[in-house]
Amino acid sequence: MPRDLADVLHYFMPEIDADAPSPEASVAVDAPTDPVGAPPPRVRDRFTFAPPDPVSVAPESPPLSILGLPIGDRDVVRAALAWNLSVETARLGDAALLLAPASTADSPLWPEAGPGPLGTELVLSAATGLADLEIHATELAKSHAAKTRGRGIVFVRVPPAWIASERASTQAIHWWLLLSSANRRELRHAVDVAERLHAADPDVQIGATIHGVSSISEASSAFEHLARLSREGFGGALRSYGLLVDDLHVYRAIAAQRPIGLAHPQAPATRALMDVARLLAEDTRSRAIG
Amino acid sequence: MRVFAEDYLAESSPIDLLAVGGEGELIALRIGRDGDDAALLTHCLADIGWLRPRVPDFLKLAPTLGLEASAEPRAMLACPGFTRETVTAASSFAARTVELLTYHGVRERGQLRILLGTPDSPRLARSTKPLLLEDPPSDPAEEDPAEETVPHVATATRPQAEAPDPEDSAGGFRTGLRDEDLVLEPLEEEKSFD
Repeated sequence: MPRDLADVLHYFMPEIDADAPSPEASVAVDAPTDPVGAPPPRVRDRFTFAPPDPVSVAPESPPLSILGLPIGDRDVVRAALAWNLSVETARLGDAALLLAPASTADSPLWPEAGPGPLGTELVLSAATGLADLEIHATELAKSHAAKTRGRGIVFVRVPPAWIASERASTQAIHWWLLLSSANRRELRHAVDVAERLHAADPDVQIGATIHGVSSISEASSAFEHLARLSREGFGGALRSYGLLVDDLHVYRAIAAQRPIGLAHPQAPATRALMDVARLLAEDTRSRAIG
Repeated sequence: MRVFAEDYLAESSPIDLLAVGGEGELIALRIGRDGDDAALLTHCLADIGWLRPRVPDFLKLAPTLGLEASAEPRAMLACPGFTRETVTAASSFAARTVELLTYHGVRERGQLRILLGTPDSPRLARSTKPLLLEDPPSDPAEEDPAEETVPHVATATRPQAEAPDPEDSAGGFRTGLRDEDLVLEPLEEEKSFD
C-alpha cells in the first residue's frame, strides 16, 4: 500500500498528472453535468475503480535486501534471535522473510513454515548448498519487492558448514550478520567466519551483533575486540548492529513459539531487538537509495 | 514531550516518533521533507484516529509512561515549510490537534543543529521562539549515544542516510539503547551455544 496520498493521486486525477501511467481502472463520475456549476475535474462525488495491479502500474521496485546469517542446526539462541529479528523488521513496516534450508523443518528451534506474525514468512528451500540457497534468496527478494517498494529484508539462515565448503559462491549474498556473544572463543569463531566470507567476496559487507551482554559497555568492548581482530586478521571492516540481550523472556518465547515482541513488548530483549531491526532497516533504506 | 517509540506502525504506515506530552496525551510526530506537508497531514489525522481507541492498551502495556486515559491524542507535523492550504487545514481543528513545526538544519563548526519553529506564514520557516536541537558533542568513548528526544529528531531530519561504504564500514559500536533499557531479570536457565 502506498505511504503517501500523493502516490495514489493520479488514480483520482489522471488528467493533471500527465506522467502517471494510466490506471487499469474505469472511473464512473457522478458529478453534475452543468458546466457552470460543475466542480473542477478533480472533484468527484463518487467513483468506482478496480484496484490497480501494482506490478503493472507501479514502477519496478528494487529487490529486497538479502542478509545472510550463519546459524547452526542446534543453535538455539541464534535461531530465536534471527526469527525475532524478522518479526521486529516486519513491525517497522518492512517486508521480512526468513529463508532456511529444508532441514530446518525438522528442527524445533524454528517456527512452522509459512506466514507468521505481522506478515513475516518462513520459507523453506530445497537447496543443498550455498549457491542454490542464494538463487532462491534472490528470487524471493525480487518477487516480494513490489509489496513494500523494495523495503525489507530476506533473512537467510546459512549453515556455517556451507560457508566453509563453498569459497567461490554465486555471490548473491553480499551482506552478512554475525551474531556473537562477548565470549572470546565465540568472538574468535566469528572472526574465522568473517574471514571465510571475505575470502570468497572481498566486497562483502559484514555486520556484527553482540548478544548475551548485560551492559552497553560490555557489548561495545566485545564489538571493538571483534573489529580489531578482523582488521588485524584479514584487513576486513565490520559494521556494528548493536546488541541483543538473552534475558529470561528469550527462552520463554522460544518455548512458547511466540515472538518476544508480542509476548513481552516491554522486555529489554524486545527493546534490543527493535533497536537492531531499526539499524538494519536504516541500512537497507540507504541501499535502496544508493 | 518524551519520545518513547520510533517508527511505530499505525494504520498503514509507521509514525516517525511516538511521544507522551505534558498532560499525559499521546503525541504522534511525523517528519517530512519539503512538499510532504499536505500528504503527511492526512497521516497525522489518521494517526489520531488510530491512537484514540488504543490509549487503554498503551496504559496496560506501559503503565509507567505517564499516560492519561482521558487525554486526547494529538499530532505534530514537522516539515521545512507548509503551504497556506495545510496551515489553514490544520487550524480548522481544535487547538493543538495537529501542531505544525518547521525545521531547518544548520551546521556550525561541524555540529549539526536543528532549528524548530512554527509557520507564521506560508512557506515561511521562521519562529519567534526557535527551539534549538543540537547533536551531542562527539565523545571518543561513545560512538552513538542513545537518546530519545532531541537527537532523535535531529537524526530524522538529516538527509537519507548515506549508503554504507564497504571501504569504511567500521564506524564503531552502534546502538540506540541506554543502560536503563537493559534492566535485566536474572537468568534461571542455562543457555548453550552450538
